[in-house]
Amino acid sequence: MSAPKEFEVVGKRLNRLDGEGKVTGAAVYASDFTLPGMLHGKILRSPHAHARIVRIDTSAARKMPGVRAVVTGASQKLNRFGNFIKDFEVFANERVYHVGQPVAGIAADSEYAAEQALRAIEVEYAELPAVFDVMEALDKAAPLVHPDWQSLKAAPIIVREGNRCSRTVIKVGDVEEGFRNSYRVYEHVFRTSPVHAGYTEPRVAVAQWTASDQATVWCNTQLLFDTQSTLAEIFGIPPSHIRVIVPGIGGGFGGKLRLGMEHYAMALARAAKRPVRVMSSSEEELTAALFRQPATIELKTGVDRDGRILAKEGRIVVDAGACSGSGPLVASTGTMILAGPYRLPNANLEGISVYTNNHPNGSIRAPSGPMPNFATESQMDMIAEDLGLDPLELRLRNILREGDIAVNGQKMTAVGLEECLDKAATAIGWDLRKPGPNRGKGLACGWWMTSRGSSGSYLKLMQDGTLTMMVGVVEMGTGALTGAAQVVAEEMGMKLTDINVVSADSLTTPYDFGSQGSRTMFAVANASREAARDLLEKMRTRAAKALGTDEQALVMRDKAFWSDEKKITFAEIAAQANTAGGGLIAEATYIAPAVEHDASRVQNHFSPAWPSPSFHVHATDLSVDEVLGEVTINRYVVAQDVGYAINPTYLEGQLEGGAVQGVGQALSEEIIIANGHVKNGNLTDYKMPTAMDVPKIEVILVTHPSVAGPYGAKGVGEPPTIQPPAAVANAVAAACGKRIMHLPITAEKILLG
Amino acid sequence: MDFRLHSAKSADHALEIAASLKDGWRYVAGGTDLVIQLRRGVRKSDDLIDLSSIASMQGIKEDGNGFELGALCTHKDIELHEGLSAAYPALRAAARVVGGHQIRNVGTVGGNLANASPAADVAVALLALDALIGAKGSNGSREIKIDDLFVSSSKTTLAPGELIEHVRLATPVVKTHSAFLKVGRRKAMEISVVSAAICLAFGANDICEKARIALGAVGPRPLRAKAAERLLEGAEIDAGLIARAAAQARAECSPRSDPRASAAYRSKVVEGLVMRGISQCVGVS
Ligand SMILES: Cc1cc2nc3c(=O)[nH]c(=O)nc-3n(C[C@H](O)[C@H](O)[C@H](O)COP(=O)(O)OP(=O)(O)OC[C@H]3O[C@@H](n4cnc5c(N)ncnc54)[C@H](O)[C@@H]3O)c2cc1C
Repeated sequence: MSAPKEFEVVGKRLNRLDGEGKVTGAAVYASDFTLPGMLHGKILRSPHAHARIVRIDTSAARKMPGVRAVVTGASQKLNRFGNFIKDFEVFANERVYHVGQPVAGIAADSEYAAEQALRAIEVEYAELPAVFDVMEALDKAAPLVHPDWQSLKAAPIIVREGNRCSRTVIKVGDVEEGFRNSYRVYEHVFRTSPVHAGYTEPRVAVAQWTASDQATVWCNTQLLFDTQSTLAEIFGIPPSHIRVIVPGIGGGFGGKLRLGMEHYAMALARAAKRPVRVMSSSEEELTAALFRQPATIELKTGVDRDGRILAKEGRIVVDAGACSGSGPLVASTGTMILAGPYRLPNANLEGISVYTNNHPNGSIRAPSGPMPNFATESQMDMIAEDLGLDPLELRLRNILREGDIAVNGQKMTAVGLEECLDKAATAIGWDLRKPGPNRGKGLACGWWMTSRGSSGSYLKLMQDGTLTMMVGVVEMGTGALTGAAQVVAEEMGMKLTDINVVSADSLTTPYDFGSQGSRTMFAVANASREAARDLLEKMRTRAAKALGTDEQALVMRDKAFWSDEKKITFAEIAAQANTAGGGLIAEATYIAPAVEHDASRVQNHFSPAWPSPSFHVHATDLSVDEVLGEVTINRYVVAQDVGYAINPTYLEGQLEGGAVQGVGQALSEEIIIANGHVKNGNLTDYKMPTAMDVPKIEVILVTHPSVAGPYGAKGVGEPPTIQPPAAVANAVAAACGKRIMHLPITAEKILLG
Repeated sequence: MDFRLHSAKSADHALEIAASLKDGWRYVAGGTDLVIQLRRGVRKSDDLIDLSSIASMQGIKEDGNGFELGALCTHKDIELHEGLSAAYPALRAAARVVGGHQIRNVGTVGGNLANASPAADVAVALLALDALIGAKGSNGSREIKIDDLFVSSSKTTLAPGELIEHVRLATPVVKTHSAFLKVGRRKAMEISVVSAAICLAFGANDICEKARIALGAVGPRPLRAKAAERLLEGAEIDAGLIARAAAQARAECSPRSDPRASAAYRSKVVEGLVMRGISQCVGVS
């Protein structure tokens, strides 16, 4: 590899373009947004996990002070929606099938008035049998969550059967044969609990109808265009009649990919003929948001005497909740995580999502990552222990390396896994795995993809010689748009601060797959870079004409084109274009190239090949209190193959934050649900880690450039949440000998388990 | 939440306002317990009597006999008071693990006691320190032994309308050592899953003359493990005795299972905490 070229803007630790406003508090978030005459909406939710609605009487509520509109399933005809299966209703019609399901909404002069009026709505329910456990739900005798499942519209990739709402399979070789040839075969079952995405700003939307079939919604979604088209589907109007604007978003982490409050705000605003704001309370967030699915993972792995994996059979069963939501996708992608970044000569991996009468779940940061990784990477350590091998050595004997064929038949390139393992192990001091009593070290490795999906970018040269970039994503706090702007600035020979970013408005910005899937910076930068090249060509043509020289003779320097001593600045080029006509604008779109895989190995897979895969290793050193069972993390190391660091500071921030989020799922976070009812629906009892619970996260950036990525970058945002549960579980086992197979790893499980 | 707020200028003024209102009013100090209860609909109040600007109920006074903590003294006030911290490390240790800084800046000792949560940290520490609660009601002032204050979760022996004016702590005898320990799922911002406050006073020859073991979240109220205390009193404390006392303390608890933890875990952990707490006290003696 040749020595890396020195860049002016990319690769630099520059301040975020949106940084000052966010630090000073000047930035406007969706929850700050108000309109004149705006009403406040509140939602009445089902207290039952499964019941027939016998009667709803809203007459008393309508007469309450300040009430302007009441909406129920019967009062407004709204279409069903859902990503893969149309199994969501805005307001329940005949039945409720989970606790917390919206039954009615009220818009009133104040939140308080709306809340009071909710209590005046009378609903009579007739309870129906419900099912809460995925394994029971799979039983033929279980009550059907959707007795009408066959009539619900679904994407063709979805294979359903009763409560099973999807099934994906990856099959390679002959696992039975593999098990027969194995020296040892290990079988384990692991479980994980639902967790909340943990964004700071609750989901909020303000909706205003500007005509009988046109509306604008200000909200904090991560996906402008998915929100737009879903709302259009619900209200039966063309997507372009709905404008979605995100004034600002206080974190998303996948929890704001799907509709939050937008549809309720729109329905209420239509009924009230006034703008309506709906914001979920923190209690609603913790009882009625889209959680990360709990999962049951069954794993059977056969190895030879040296620990080489000969066969792997696994199944991830995802509790989708009462509506499929992201469940099918999570189960599907979960099969790749079950495989792990290992060479598997024989494999049979299945991912299914299952309806239960629990609350529907969503896609949280690396949606299918932590659950199967916890299982796979815990089992790797259990195998190592049984074989008397160092867990690091066991991994080194099985990992994918450059040119290897992965489980889906994809040929692996730019594989930085071994380097991540080496560096993480060295950093944590792997040689001394048990530094003292009740203290131990553990590591876990993983892989993930950079999601595809299209991005577009409009660029225009401004009269002052700066550049405006218009893109259809939302800056979620990752710094993705600063990264993309750094790429554009590099291309244009500008400073980062010369780039003005316009985003988050479905009307004015080009289509984009959105802020998700570790793809935002990757795809937006690629599209914008292409547009920048085009714009530069146009500018060069004008400059050559103005200076009376050949385009080839021009040199670009200091935001100007030079021909010997003569120059024309970007500002002058813009001014000239503006007065003489032909203002300087450019556009481009980008979608990551499809990756080849072996289609005969996969069935009904949502992402059968992984574009620009990333590789990661987490290692931790922790202590377990032998009397109390409490875990104290002494050190935590993340080594991630990021391809290339466009802005190392924000990249490190991603890896630190993701690791902390993962440590939360590992040790303390869980939505506790009994018979469909959340038992800890408040921030007193839902435990995200505090600054006292996590040490400094030590980040090591490994760079094996992706051919497709801007300057070699890979998607980075989701991966750091994947490995913490397994790394922590392995370290706990090393520290005190307790192997916890059900997340979270609480002190109670360690002490009593 | 919808209520009228009445600002009281003195303890007597607060009692006067209370007398003038129909049932359903409540005192509010820092509001860190009450506002959440109102917000969640656990409680409803049409009238709140705000105690927070009563000058005589603020701050910590120290004289020859000991300390007087105004009921409005905040957890932060306790944490930062050097004399009090030196005399009773357990109290400081409890105060500095209440919620986060914001809560400690507004939450009061009076509120912590009157709210009567079995998990209240400062209340548990004060229980181990034999605090005297100065209360004032329509029948005048009285002092209540802290052990007589708590009845059950959110129930005290305060008469209707009676308020807590101050909390008194005697100057500790020479060889007094105290410790407070708490367990929760996180290392901060945590309601105690179990807590233990220990206060031991030693005479000549290192004989334990007085022992107090107060436990949080293992019964319907902050409770004393009195049989365990008796095991320690009059004895020279060694490892065997510590283990016996801890086991005895465990036997005196009646923990419940709830989403925070199971009864079995609480039971096991309370023994460990008492063992550690006593060891800490003995270690410094
Ligand atoms: C995020 C958070 C974390 C917390 N963490 C902890 C913790 O770790 N440990 C802990 O122990 N507590 C914790 N708490 C609870 C609370 O902060 C404390 O109990 C605090 O001391 C209560 O005091 P206050 O002044 O806010 O009480 P308020 O809410 O004002 O009042 C509480 C109750 O006491 C009554 N009251 C108040 N003052 C008097 C008085 N002088 N006389 C008679 N009655 C009175 C009120 O009528 C009310 O019923 C936490 C609370 C929050 C919100």
